[in-house]
Amino acid sequence: MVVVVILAYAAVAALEIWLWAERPWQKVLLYLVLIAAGAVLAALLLRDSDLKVPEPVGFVTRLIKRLWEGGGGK
Amino acid sequence: MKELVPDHQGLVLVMLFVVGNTLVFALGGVAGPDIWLAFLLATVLAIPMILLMARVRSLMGGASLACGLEQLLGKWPSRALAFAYAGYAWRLACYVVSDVTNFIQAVALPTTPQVVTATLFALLMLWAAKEGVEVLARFAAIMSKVVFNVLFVTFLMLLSQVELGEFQPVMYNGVKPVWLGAFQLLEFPFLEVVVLFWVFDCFRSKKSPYRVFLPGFVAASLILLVMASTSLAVVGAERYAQFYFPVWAAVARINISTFLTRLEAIIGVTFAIGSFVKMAACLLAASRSLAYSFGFADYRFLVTPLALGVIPGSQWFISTLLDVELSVIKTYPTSATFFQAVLPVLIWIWVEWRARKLGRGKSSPTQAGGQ
Amino acid sequence: MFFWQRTKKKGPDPRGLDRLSSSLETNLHWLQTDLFASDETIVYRRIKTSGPKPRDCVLVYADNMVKHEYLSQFVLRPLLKAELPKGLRGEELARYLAEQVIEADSSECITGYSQIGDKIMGGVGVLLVDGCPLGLVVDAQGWAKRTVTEPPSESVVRGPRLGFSEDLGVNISLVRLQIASPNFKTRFVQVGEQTKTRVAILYLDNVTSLDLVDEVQRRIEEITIDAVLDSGYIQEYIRDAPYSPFPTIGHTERPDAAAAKILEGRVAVLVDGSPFALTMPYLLVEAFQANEDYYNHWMVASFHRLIRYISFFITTSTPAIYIALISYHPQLIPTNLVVSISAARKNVPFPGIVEVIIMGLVFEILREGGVRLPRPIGQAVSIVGAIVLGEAAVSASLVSAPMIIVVGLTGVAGFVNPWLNDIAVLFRLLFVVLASVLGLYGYVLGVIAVVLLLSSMESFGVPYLSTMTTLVPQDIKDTLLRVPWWQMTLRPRYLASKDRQRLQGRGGRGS
Repeated sequence: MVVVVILAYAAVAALEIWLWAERPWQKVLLYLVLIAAGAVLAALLLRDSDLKVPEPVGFVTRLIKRLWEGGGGK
Repeated sequence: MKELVPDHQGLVLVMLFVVGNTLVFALGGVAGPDIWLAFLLATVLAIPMILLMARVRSLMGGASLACGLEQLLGKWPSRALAFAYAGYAWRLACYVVSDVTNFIQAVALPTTPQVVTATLFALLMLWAAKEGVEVLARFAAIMSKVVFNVLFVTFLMLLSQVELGEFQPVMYNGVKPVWLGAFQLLEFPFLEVVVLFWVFDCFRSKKSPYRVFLPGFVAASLILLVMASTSLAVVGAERYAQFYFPVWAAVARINISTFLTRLEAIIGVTFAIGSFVKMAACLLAASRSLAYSFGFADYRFLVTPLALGVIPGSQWFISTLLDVELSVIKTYPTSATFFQAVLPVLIWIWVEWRARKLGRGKSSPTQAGGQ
Repeated sequence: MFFWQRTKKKGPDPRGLDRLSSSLETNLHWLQTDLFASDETIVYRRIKTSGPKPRDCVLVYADNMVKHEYLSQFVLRPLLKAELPKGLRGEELARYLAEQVIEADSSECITGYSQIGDKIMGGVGVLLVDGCPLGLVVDAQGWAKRTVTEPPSESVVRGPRLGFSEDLGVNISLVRLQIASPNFKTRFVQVGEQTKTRVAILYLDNVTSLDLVDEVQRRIEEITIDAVLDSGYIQEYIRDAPYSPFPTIGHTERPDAAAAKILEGRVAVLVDGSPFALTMPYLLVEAFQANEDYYNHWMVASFHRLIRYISFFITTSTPAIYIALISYHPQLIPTNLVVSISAARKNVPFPGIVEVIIMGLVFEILREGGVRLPRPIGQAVSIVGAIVLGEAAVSASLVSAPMIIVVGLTGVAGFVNPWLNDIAVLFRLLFVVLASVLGLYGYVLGVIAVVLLLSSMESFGVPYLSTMTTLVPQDIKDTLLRVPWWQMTLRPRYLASKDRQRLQGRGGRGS
């Protein structure tokens, strides 16, 4: 299943890039990186459906919580 | 190639975006019987943020998003900002898709895997985002006639079952639930409007952003207020907070002369249409801002990878209906606050300062007016 | 010079130029052996003028393309009697003939050898006289024409009964009769390497934006094709959104409909040999408008229009919604109904989707079978198909009775909008497939896709859904409803950019 999904993503990418009128390397690179990210995410989710979501601004959450609780604790 | 959306279509797009995927959920349930107060409070609190957003867009004049941002913020800060919002918009798209797929699985197709619906929606929104904001706004304009008329008719039919007693006594539990409800509403859905900042490429005149964002938002929030309070009055405050889909449950009770029954499917349909507009707008915003942050003029080549990423993404962030509820309450708020309130205010201050410095502020009547 | 030396000498001129010779015999020789070689329909009528020094003349024309009596009465008879003065040569001779001898309409003199071919194929006679290197064109076109009749494809109960025929000139005059204004303009373009078909672009100078007219002309001029036999050829070349099944160019057989479109600021294109005028830009609303709407009482017309919208919904969606309800959401159907439906479906061996597709296919076969048959036979086919087949299929439990109702309703509702009927079949199929996979939500996805397609389309720069996306009163007046004429004071905003005011005085400025 994982293989099928990754092949599907690769097929879509190949088809679409083939359809472009011109292919500057910057565009192709960004496109491929994003497609690869999507494919990897799909593959990981297929193996483990409870994949943890990273919290990019998690430190802010913790900071706010600490400040909030510190204020409330007084 | 400028993409110019007529003001009235932009306004409808804003309305559908806000009403979009929120219609059936238990919005502001914590406020209990004071739900309408929570809605009003949230609307009042959101209006300054909306104005601020419109102000920033208005300072750009008739310039396109990319040019305007670069002028106002400088090259690198604006690109960093765009990158951050690309992530936020993409994540919001995932949330919207998972809302819809979870909803459909819960009410209609218990055995169909969510991936199937998610893929179909992703393909459609890919198409919509590739067509661009003009087409999306036209789509919203024509679909809004269906959606809002259906909502109006359902509202009329619900009226016979409304128990006004449900709203009394006012503020029995004090002010705190109202504030809590209002803040929940701000996070989801009201201030998600910030995504629309990145959807519109340019506006007709300097006044257009105000004309598009403010009335659109206020109208949408009033519609939500009416729908939420009506369904609360039909099903009762306690059940409203317990149900996953209280509006759905309320509409299911409609029974007019034993023939007009089971109208909840229509609500489901409008929900799907509204959600589609919202997810397509999010995808468009994500692609546009990501393309801008990497310095590409055209965003369309990024739509496909981002849309294909949404399919696993929707399962990643939220995989069950319980997560839908939890995410609204727990995980979503902080990052949402950051993108919806903190960053916009910072941008506004920065932009206002830059505009003063560039001498563009209020005194540039050249592009004001318009139609 | 090199070019001239290398090419084979063509034509009667000794220097190889595209000229006629002054010797009649040379000209005739070339015509008979080169230009019209082995063409037996060309007639060479040889006569001599009277008087002491008779001159040889030859009248050349294509048989059955000209009016014979007219030619003999107004060209041959005066020529036979004429006594030409001495010493007349060349151009003087031609002018003398045209002005003092020939009584028929004589439009021009031609000098080119190859021009003769075009002229004679266009149905005129060419008179060649000895000693004169010019051909005299005699306008005597007269071929078999259809008279102006009521168009069979767009018959009306009330309204003008004129229809376009195959003759370009007649067609233009029919439109001009409706718009007797000097602002009504016509531009001509020639298309088709072989057929050299004349195409006319009709518009109203003071209303239509000239950019639109130029764009239409540009697109028509860009066509490279060897033959144009009907306006359908042109339509396919110049339309927008070629991959969308929705029409982006309108066509009509009625001069009044064409005139109405032109008066709103559209451009009409007439093609020689085709009774169908093309109108552009074409918007989706027009598919729901009929010319009779404007001749009937406005309330009745508005009601009919609503019926058309509802029918379009029914014809595209009923089977899909039926499938979605019976296979995924039976709880949404009122209880009594669901009981009777399931009783009717009890003995049917197929799932709903198969039933719908089979019956839909049968209906389309019956329709296609009946369309081109003579009317009495066509009716027999429909009756046999609809009644006998349907009845038998139900009693044999091949399909359920509700399905017959659904398919019948779908099919009949499709005929309400003849413009969209063929497209409706496609979308019906799409919706049915989606609904059988995802129920009602599959159907909604299909609708979203179709509306997206419509939103993305444009016709000559005008969004396809214009006037349907707004809430401006002026736009609604002729969209969902047909308000009284004295209320429609403005022309459509998207078309008439130059002069939006349709009516002065009463009603005032709308919107």
